[in-house]
Amino acid sequence: MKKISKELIGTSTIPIILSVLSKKESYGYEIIQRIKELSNGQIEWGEGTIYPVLHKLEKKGYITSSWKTSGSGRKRKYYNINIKGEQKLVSEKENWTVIHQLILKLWNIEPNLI
Amino acid sequence: MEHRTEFNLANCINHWKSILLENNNMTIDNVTELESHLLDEIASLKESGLTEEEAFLISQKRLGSINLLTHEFSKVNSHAFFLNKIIPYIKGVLIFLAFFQIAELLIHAFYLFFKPAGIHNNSLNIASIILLIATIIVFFTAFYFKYKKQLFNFHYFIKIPVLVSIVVLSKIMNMFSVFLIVKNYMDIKNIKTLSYNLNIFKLTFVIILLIVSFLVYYKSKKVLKIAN
Repeated sequence: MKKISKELIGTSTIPIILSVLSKKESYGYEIIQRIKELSNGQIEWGEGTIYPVLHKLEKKGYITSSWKTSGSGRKRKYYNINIKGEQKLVSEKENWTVIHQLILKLWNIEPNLI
Repeated sequence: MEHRTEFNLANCINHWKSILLENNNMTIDNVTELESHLLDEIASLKESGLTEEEAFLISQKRLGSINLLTHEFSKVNSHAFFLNKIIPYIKGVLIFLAFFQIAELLIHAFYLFFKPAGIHNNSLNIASIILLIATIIVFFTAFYFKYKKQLFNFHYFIKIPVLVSIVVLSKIMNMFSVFLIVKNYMDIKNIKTLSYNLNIFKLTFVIILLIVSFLVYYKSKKVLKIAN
């Protein structure tokens, strides 16, 4: 199966993470598993690199984090989206929709560009 | 047949964590979070039938190389990176200051202890020089055994608040001891001699430190050259 380019994954990381967190609070490993599952394995990160992105989002005030202990006794850091993060997600959705529609239009008019 | 040592997951994880922490780009919190991820991944791979060793190796690979992780974390941890880098330098300077203050205090205490016994000034002078030389030897020997043989654990002594307290307290005690010597003995001549000895001691110490620095520098260059 063809993998998606690193550049495209890098650009889409923030809206993807915010979208996953908008459904429910989660931790790094679970977020990655969710994305793998939804993309049928086409999106594959160096898994550890999700954490600097999560920390950056936390620093910018889009998400909050807290350590919790799971049933098995393992400590996990859970991330939650907040109102600022929800607003960011709305603006990201608008941006991505614009790009998506533009590409669709271009390809419909000039299919040979595909 | 080749004998393989038994795989120990806890040891491997600890080793992996220690390498991550050595890189100065990560906080303990970051490493704990990555460890939690690694353990989740290992558990999942073991469920699908892999051995503990295989699960560890694959999980480590999926998480990303040490270089990749430290590079990515350095983008968000520039503050922690700066602090982790600067703390050893501050500790070095504080150890240097504390050492000089303690040596000075030793000399003053030595004088205050033996002067009332009526020991001749020349003997006091020679004894103070011997004491200072012994202090240098003790310092460098302790340093050698700590870092080369890893014998002593100075962990609690080389914390910044402890070092600052040692410097401040020994400075206050030094000022007080000079005051006692002048008040009790009006012995300006001997104080001058002690101070002269101390200056020679400081100079000797600095020269030894410079020589050690050059030796370490050239040795490190040689080792790195071989490694490359």
